[in-house]
Amino acid sequence: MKTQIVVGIDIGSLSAKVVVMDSKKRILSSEVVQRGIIVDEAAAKQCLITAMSKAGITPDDVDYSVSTGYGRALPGFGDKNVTEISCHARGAHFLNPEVRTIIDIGGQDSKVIALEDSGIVHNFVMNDKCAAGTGRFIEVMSAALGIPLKDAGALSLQSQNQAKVSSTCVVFAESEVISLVAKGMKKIDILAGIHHAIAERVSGLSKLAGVRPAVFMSGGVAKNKGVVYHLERAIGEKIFVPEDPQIVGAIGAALYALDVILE
Amino acid sequence: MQAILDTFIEIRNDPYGWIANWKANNPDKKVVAIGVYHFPEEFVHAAGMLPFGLQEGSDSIVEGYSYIYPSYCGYSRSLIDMGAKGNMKMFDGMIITDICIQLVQAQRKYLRNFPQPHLYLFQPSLDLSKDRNRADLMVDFKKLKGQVEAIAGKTISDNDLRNSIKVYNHNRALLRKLHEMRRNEPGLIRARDMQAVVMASMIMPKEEHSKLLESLIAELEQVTPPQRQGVPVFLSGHLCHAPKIEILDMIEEMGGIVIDDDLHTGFRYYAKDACPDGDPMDALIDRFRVIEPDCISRMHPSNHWDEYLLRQSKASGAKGVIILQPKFCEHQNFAYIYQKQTLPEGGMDHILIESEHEMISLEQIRTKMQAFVEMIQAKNAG
Amino acid sequence: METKERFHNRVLSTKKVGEAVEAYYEKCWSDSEKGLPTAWGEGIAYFPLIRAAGLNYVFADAMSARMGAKKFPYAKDAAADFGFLDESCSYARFHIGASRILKGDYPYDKSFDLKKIMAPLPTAYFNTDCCSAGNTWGDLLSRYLNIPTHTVYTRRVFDKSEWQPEMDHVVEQLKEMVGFIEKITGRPYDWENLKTVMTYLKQSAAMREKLRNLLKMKPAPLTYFDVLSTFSAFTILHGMPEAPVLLDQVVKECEDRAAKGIGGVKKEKYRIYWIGAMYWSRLGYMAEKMAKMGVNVVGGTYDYMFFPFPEEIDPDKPLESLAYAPISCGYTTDNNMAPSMSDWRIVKDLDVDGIIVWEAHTCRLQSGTNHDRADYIARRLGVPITYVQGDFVDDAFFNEAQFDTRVQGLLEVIDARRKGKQGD
Repeated sequence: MKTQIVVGIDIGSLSAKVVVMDSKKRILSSEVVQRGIIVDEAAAKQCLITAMSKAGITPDDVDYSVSTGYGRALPGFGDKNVTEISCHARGAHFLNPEVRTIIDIGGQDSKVIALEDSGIVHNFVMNDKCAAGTGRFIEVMSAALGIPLKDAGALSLQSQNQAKVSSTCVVFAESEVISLVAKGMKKIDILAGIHHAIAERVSGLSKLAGVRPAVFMSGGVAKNKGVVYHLERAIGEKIFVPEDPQIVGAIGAALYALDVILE
Repeated sequence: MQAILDTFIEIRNDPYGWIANWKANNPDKKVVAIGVYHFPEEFVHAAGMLPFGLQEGSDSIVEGYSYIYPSYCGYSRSLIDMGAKGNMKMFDGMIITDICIQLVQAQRKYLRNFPQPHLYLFQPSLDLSKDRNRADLMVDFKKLKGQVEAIAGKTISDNDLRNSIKVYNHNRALLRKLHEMRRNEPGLIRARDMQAVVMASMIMPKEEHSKLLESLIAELEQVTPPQRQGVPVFLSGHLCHAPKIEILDMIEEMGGIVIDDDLHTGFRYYAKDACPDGDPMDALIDRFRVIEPDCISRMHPSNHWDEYLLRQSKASGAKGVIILQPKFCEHQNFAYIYQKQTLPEGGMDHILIESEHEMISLEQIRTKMQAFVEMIQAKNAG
Repeated sequence: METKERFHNRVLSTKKVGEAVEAYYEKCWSDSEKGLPTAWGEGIAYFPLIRAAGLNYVFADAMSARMGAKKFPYAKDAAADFGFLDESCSYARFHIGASRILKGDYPYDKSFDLKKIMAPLPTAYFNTDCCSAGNTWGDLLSRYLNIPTHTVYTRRVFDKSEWQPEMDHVVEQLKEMVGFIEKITGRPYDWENLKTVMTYLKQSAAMREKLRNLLKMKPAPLTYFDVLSTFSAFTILHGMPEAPVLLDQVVKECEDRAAKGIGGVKKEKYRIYWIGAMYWSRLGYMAEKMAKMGVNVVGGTYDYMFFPFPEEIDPDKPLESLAYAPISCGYTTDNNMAPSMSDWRIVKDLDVDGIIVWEAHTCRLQSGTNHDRADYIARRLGVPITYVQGDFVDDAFFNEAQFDTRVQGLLEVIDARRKGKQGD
């Protein structure tokens, strides 16, 4: 019998992610592409094509696809769409069945998802306006400091004298950096302060949802060791970060696609 | 002199740490956390307890967001956050004054979520124009007295109350003297230090504060302050909590010389006295009913903060008014509607600086402040 | 002609309430042109007292909601020009902005007929002190328009022992308010008419109770949005003889639907309770959007505001009945003491699957109790909650993508719980 193939597509604000999966739940391929511009469908399409190519399949081989993320309703990407809340939960639980709390810090928002022991979503919370702790803040501040984003987390861990960064408002982020540098603060200390501020915000959000171990982190910001370090300390729990945290939502979407064809 | 100031500064820098320490060193004394604005502290003092004027916390809001939205003023959010963190358990009682819905909500959060012994809401009748206001206030004040007595576990006598009024009047007179000295000698005391003096009065035992303040005033009377280049300014706003010292420093750094104010940690706290003779309840009610400075939280046809601000800033010799407005403070936003018209019409330049609990960016304020000073200097030169 | 598929099966007779409201505003204008006074006011208003005096009264919040629904942009602009920040109460901003336009202090596109957007300028203002923003709002308008204001000051109550003394306090003030009304109208107060007005109010409340009971049905023959479409029967047409008549028509239409098994939404897959304010600017839009998702919003906070229970209205004791209003309202008293607004048993009867909490970003009065109320109900019922940010009337605070994601997420949680498993 021909193996059935499904695709999960996560179209976020800053990147598109695709996972190709077979009916035995094996991940055949995955791909992540930075979108650049929020409405850039081309990047999402490219991501899909590359993922399928890596899996050695064509669009005709795909039996069903589910899209998620803010761009989930874009036409041409999914036979059905499911929110990133459900998809991140599903994907995280698939990767680690011990997971009971999922923290996803995205480019534009952050969310905390609480699972029941069965793995279904019990509750979720997302950030309110003006109380955000998002990847965008780290990105803007790192750029203002002249530090590549990929190095920001590791560098922040070198700090011995963390700066106090009180606001995580992106609008005034650069001028905040200027004033801290003007005070003579070292860049790594400012970086540490930034990471701590993000982690603090998100830990507050997580308390609204309720934190139960095991705690899992998904999304691009999970690759930032500095955020993980500060968040572990803020919530008082060890955080499990998968090998590729960015594709967790797409994995969940693929699993939802499997539900449809296996029903 | 610096040693006295350092005492006050220590309190201002960490009021909650200071009071925790004080409690530990005075285990037989009770401390009642109060919302200072319009609150007749004399009741608490007369009951032999220490009133602690609730200050904004220094932590970022984290736990608090599980209970309240971010669109509340930093002060109310901070109070809720501190409650959520369990930082307020040291107080023997907590009484919040209903002058603003956000403070009411803060009290409500404690009521529902953070059990606190003797948690009350003081609800003085705020429409001062009504004939019945005095009678209503008598009901409100009697209730408050009963609540304070419940915390203290003892009755407050009229003599106790009269005595406390005298103690408070004395302290307020000293603060007004310092206020006057600052106006007459611009640059005599830095804005951040003035704030420390006033905030310390809201926190430490009143008698001790008065003693230290007497000494400070005596020393300052001997000082000739350095000539400062800059523009004399009137600071207005921040009705419930202290402005960030970074903002005060920035104002002075950019050339503003603060010579007068109507701040919460300023003139508002010590503007009025109560009559030390006769019925002390009447005295405290009469004090409450005096509108000085004008206050947006109370209702009366003559209560126009904008007109007060124009009048007072001119009288003080200020060349500009700096309105410090906490973000999400609706009271101040409503007040600004007329301030925005009245001040320019009256020939007084002004600038509005919005502050936040988590300070967004001093650079923005730096630019605004510098431009304001340049503008006034240019006008004066012209 | 192709007809667009509709998912919200709107209760048609609610449109008549809207028509009656328009007629009322027209009456306010024509009376004003004859020199008769108009009054504006805010809060848990003792408006029946004003109605009984034959004084045309316009509830400020309702006027702002109407401006939002009619997409009139200039009121907000006028307020911003005046110095208001967007963060301040949008009801106040729209209302005060409207007064500037009426006074001729701010321009607007003359293609808008102001008579269809707002009420005529008032000669008096009534303030009922349920919120500090409301107090300053009334004060500002009083000064700006140079009109007298009357405030009824209400203390919050925490203990049952405080209820009666505070009601007595309010009753005393209502008597003073009558004196103020007499000065405005220039005639003695019509106490007999007050009984009549309270009778109509009681009848209206009884109709409202019937609608709440109909919402318990599965499927419910109407939605919470339909109930809110009749809300102006309480906030504008309160105590008028047509109010209970119009509401009765709505009840009859819903009872008829119930008998025929016709639901308020095309397919009622989810039953949701709505805590918090309402997005008045887009009531119909929200109704359709939710219905399209298979959601019937079967109840919400407003079900229990403004005289919700007929048994609390005694036309023979009108002042006492009016004094009870703030005591029984969860906004002016503590949650624990306002069973109508936080009683999970009421929500349990509705058999809801989940809760949406709507934050009106600019209102600290109603948003302050949201978390506690939602937690109180959800913990007892074990239903999921989602929080959404928006406002009453200011579109600037509504983010559709945020709303869609959070509501869809809630529905997915409900689906997953129904399936009872996730595991892979």
